[in-house]
Amino acid sequence: MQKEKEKISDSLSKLEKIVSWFSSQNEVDVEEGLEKVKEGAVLIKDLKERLKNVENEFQEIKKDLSGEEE
Amino acid sequence: MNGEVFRQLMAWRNEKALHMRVERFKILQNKTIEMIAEEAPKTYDALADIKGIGKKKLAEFGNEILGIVNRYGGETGLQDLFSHQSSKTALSKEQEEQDKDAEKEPVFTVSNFLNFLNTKFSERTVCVQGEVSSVQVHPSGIYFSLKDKDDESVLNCYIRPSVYERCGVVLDEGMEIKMSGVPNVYKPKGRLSFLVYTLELAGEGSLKKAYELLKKKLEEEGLFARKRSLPEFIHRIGIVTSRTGAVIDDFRRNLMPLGMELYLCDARVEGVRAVDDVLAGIKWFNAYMPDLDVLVVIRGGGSLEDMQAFNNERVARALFASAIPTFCGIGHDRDVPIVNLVADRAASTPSIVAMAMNASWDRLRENLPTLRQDLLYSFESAMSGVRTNVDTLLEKLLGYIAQLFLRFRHLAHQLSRALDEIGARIESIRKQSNDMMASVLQSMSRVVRDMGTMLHARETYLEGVSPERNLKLGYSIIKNEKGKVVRSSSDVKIGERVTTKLGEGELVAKVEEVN
Repeated sequence: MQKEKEKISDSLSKLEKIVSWFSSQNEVDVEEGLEKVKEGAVLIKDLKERLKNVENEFQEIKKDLSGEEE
Repeated sequence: MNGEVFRQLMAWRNEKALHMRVERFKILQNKTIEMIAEEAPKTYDALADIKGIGKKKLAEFGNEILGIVNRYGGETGLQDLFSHQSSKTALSKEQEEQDKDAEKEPVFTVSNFLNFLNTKFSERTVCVQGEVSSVQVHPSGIYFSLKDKDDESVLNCYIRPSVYERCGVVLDEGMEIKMSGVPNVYKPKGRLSFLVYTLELAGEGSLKKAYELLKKKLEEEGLFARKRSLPEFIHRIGIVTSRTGAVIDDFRRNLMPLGMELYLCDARVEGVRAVDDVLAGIKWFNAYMPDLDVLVVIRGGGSLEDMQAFNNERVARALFASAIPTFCGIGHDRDVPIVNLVADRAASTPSIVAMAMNASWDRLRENLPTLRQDLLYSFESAMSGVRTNVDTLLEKLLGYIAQLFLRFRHLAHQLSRALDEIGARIESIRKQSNDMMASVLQSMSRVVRDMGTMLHARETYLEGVSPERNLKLGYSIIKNEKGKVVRSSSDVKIGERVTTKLGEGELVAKVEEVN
């Protein structure tokens, strides 16, 4: 789970980097620019997926009463 | 095994559990009751030997258990004090006692009498409310007096340390409390005191006081100062609250559907058992699901009295000790519940907690569309530069091509003109040659004609000079033996034979003389 969280964070910062890469270039190399956009598109798709409506799972835990208390 | 003792112990145990609001096995396990009924211990020592009876149980319930065993089990002892018959009669206990009193005055030893009293006292748990005065905290327990609010009546009270700790209330003079327990005579001193089983604060004033005391104490300890940040993109949530009621529904309804995992630990959030339940929940999550993103403790609003579990020292400390970041959403008005102060984050309603869970996704939810746009825009503008270049180049290229075409057309024009010239030349040459041919033919025919004329003249001439004609005219031609035409007399010798050709025929003659 921790991994997924990091993945989201990583993907976001990667995306941010790509966007700032474009603005940092005086003249964008077409090949490289295309590569970056492709990469960005994949990231956006993944992240969008993560925001898609997915029902929350609800579960009541069964704790062992005799085991847990004093 | 004595069946009656067993039944009585079971009945006593069940009632006790009900009064103390704990599970039955916490008082005595069935197995232990069976063994007591089997062994029928008469003394503390004998009771202590039974498996399942520890020091704690002995101190807490020893009197009562021994009382029941004595009353229903033994052939000797106190049984006689209560009943003549060993089998049960339809008579009530009071009647039995009255009957007995009427017949015979029993004589107790002091110890037996106090045992008898304690047994009688322990049969029913009672609730007493009053005001606390003169609290003494001692390793063996907490001693205090409970004063009547209206007159000066005083009840001495005693709480075992374990019970006191579980209550999570710091007793102080002047507090109003409601306690349950049984009266008990302390045998070495003969002093009556109230053995407290459970205790809770009563009355707004004491609750407020307890709240202020605890708040001050925990604040000084620094429990309110530590605030850990909640993780981003909260996904797994542990929830401690009641499974019934609007709170959990409210919380769930306000969460966005982001595929979160919610784990509920059901806990009573009001009443005497609330403290233990909430504690158990906090501890359970930390023990079994320590990788949760956040531990949420929620409850709707209520009075200070309803809220005791959330102004409880033990709960507050457990929350502080939680390795999982904590988020408390306990409804309140003026006084912020202690747990809200201790938690890493707090809100005044469960819905706000849910919204904070949602907000942990904001960076993704809000930035993603912007980033997407930025990316497209950056790429487009970058590409538009390239496109402009391409356009310029294309234009230039088209210019070149147009120029080329122009030159080509020019050349083609020139070429066609040249071809025309050549054609004209060829025509003129053909004409010339035709003319030439005509004149040649003309000349030739003239020459042929001339030649004919000339030939005719020659022929005529030749005809005139032909030897044949002369021969016919009489001339002859003489040839010597050598065949040579004889032109002079020297061409022949005497005696030589010569051949003479005549106009008609030939003759051979012999030279006779030469002159």
